[in-house]
Amino acid sequence: MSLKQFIFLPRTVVAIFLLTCMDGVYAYEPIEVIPQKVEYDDKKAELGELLFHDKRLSTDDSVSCATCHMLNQGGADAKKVSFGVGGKAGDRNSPTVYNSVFNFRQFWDGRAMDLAEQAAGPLTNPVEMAMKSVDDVVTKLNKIPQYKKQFSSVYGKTGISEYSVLDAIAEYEKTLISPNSPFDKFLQGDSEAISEKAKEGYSLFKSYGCTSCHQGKNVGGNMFQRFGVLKDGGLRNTEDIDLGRYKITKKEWDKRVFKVPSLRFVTLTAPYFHDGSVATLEGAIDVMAEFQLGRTLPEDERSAIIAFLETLVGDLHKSKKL
Amino acid sequence: MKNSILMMVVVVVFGAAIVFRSTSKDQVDEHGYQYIVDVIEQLSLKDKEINTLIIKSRFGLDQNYDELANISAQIRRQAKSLEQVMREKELFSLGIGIQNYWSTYESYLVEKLDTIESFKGNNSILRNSVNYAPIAGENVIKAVKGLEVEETISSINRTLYKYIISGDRGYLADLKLYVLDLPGVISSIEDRRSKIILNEYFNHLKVVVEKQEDTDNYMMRAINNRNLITLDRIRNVLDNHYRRHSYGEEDSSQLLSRF
Repeated sequence: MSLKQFIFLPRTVVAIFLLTCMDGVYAYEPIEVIPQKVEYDDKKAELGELLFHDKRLSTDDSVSCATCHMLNQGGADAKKVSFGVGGKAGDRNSPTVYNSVFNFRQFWDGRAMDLAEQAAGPLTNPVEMAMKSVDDVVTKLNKIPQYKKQFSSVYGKTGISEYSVLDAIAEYEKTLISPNSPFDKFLQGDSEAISEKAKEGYSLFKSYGCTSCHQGKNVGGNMFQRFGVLKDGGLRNTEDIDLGRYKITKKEWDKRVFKVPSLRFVTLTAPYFHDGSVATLEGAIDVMAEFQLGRTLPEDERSAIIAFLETLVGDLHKSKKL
Repeated sequence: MKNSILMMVVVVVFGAAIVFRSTSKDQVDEHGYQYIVDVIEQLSLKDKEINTLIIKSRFGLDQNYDELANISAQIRRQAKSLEQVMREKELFSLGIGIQNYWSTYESYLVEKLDTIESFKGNNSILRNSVNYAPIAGENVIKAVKGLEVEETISSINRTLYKYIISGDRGYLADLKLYVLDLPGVISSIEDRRSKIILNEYFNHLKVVVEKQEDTDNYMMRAINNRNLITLDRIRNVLDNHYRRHSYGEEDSSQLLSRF
């Protein structure tokens, strides 16, 4: 039997066979628990924390990573789009930095493969921190005795370099995870951890098909999807001309394709979507239902889904140094 | 006499140094070779694991893409570091074709990983519509109860159920024809609410028909990607080169004639 023949065996036969091999269907929830800890280097992370909050990493000492990723604002900045040096507006909404270590790619269009690659982006973006190059950042940091000392203590001979600066920031971002959310406790068997309304919301979240894209431990962040699956996303806002991933790949399929964002901090990070065009969570859910799922939601079901989304927020990071 | 003893000692020491140097060089090569073969083996295993995950995702047995995304990232990282090692060991300049095979492998790998992303996107859209289309169909049947089109919609929905349960492609062909008929059915309905519900059903049915083929095509393209075969060839070339280098088993013309 060829692989193709096997794959297209009547699905009932395959499903019955495989289901009998499982302990129970409910053991396979689409959303997973956030781990308590991610491996990272403590010393590098401490150094990275200083860099993350240091405005001297921008060209006029006015913007740090934390300006757009405020840890007390759910890891974002509550603005439609972020503002960089000289008050220049960016073109996309700042995503939460929390749990970004679990994202399979970084940025809305997924152009960075990992956190270190991502960290270089804002540093040299002319409307963000506007340094000419990461080398310029290195030169600037080399003039600060405290950093010289710390880098050489953590990175040895490498000292302050493009690699060590980006690596330290990435190590720090690995610490920004949010375990122990009520929903994670629920998934681990504590049926009292979330309300009946939230349970109903989770059930609706699955049955409406939201978990087709928002799944995994980050409730998103592990795939790309087109904005406007069942209805053209461009109709939503005629000013929205962001072609998303297409700008990177130039492939037709990638027009208006974006990384599916994590919903872990969605209740804390309004406004919504890559352009910050929707101010409220209610509005965002309606847009998703209409454009991605091709249906409309009754108000009571929408509020149940919000009750579920509220249970996704876990412990927030507590700074060791600052 | 003294001179000849001294000469003998020098010759022996020199000879021993050569033997030691050659042995230790072989040991280093063996270690490096083994490392590369191990990484190639790991890349192959991960590739096969990805294929299994794709099939599981396609049939809804794996409902999240975390593992697929993790292994894809691991393969990308591991391939990058293997290339670095092979470059450092100057394997690309041995004249045995490894660089060409590696370039081919890299382009197949990029193609495979891109195809996986397209698969994931399409599979999610399909999964949503396969789950919802029958429900939307039931809503339409309720809305058009007693109207002339009721039997047509019931028939479409029955075909949809049969298709979802059996996976039989014959039903998919029928659904394609129904999708062509539906706009006419929608225009014949006057009630605005019923029209909206029917349109919703039509949209999801269209997705089922279109994305079914797209998703299966992406799945097959990812699974049938030739990167595994290319990896095998790299391993064979390295293996033959190492054996020839160590034991003088084959000359390079015999080696290359295999490919």
